Amino acid sequence: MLNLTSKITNPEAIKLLNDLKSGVFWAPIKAWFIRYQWYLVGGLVVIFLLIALSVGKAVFRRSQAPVFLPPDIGTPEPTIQESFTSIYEPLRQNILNFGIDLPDPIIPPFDNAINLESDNI
Amino acid sequence: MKLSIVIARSFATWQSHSTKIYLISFLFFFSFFVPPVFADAKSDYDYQYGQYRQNYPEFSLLKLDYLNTPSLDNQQKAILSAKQTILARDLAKASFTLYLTDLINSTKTSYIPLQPIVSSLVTTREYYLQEAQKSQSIVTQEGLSSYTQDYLQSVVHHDRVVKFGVLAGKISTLIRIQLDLKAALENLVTRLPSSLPATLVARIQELRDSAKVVDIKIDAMTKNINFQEEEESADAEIFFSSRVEKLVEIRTLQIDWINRLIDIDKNYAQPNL
Repeated sequence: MLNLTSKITNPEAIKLLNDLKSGVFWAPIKAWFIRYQWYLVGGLVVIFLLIALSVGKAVFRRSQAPVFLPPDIGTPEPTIQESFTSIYEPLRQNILNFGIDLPDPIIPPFDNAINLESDNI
Repeated sequence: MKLSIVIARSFATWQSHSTKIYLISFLFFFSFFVPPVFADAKSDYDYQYGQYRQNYPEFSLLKLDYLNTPSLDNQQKAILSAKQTILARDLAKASFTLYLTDLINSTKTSYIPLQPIVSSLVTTREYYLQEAQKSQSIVTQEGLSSYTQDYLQSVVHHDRVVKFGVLAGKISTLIRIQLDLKAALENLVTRLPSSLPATLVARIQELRDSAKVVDIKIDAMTKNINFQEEEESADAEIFFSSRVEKLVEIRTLQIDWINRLIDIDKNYAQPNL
């Protein structure tokens, strides 16, 4: 069995080993952990949540319902319907345009009794 | 005046080549500013009636001035304005009569029962023109009163003729349509196949019979006018309104007729459909 104490002669190393054995070396580290323990816990929780979010997102992507699209049937083309216009259509329009109001043209009102007598105005 | 001098000088120096160019350029440039004149009976009537509408309010104001302040100056102004108004009135009436005559003649129907009305319209126009000319010889207030008194008696017949003329215009248009419809039927028959089914023959015969019915209605309406026997009927308030119903009836029959004709055209005379 290796006996370290018998071989190590450096006083600083011996001191360090003694500190390790006695626990003095860990005392400031423990004090630092005790002092910032809630920060560490908080940071761990945040990291945990971020990891959980990324894991959840990855799981959600994989579990998305597949989208079923209808097959491509191409662009519908309008049906060309030939409109029939008779050569007699202008005649029909003439009849429709025939005014049934009378008098047409309107007979304008004229004063037939133009004189300077007082009974006229 | 200046323009004529310029033109005369231009001709005097015609030998000069540059003058030729200037003159041609001048005429070419001003040819764009010459307004196109397309005067017809309608535009003449519009102008004359516009003159009357402009003159009559002026005359009314001057007459009122004269009646309120009967001075010699006011009297002369009112008489001059009255002469202008009478001239515009009778020229407007003459133009309106010509407009009606043109409307009737443009249908190219020559329907004999309407000929007396057309002839009377020509006479009436001449009467209005004569009255317009006659009015310009008025000098005094008594002369104006005498003129108007005579005018009121003689114009009654001619004003009635104008009312009959309006009816004649409508009837002429109906007859023109009727003639066109018959021509269309004959044209359609020539475009149909040689061997016609019995149903189509029957439909064509129906169209011929319907055309005769419309002819009879137009004829009856024309005879009902009684231009020569009952001229006074033009003074009745229902002179026009009583005939509107007949016009509607005839037009409805004509529309139905042409629809049936077009249906035959579509179903039998169009091989590609």
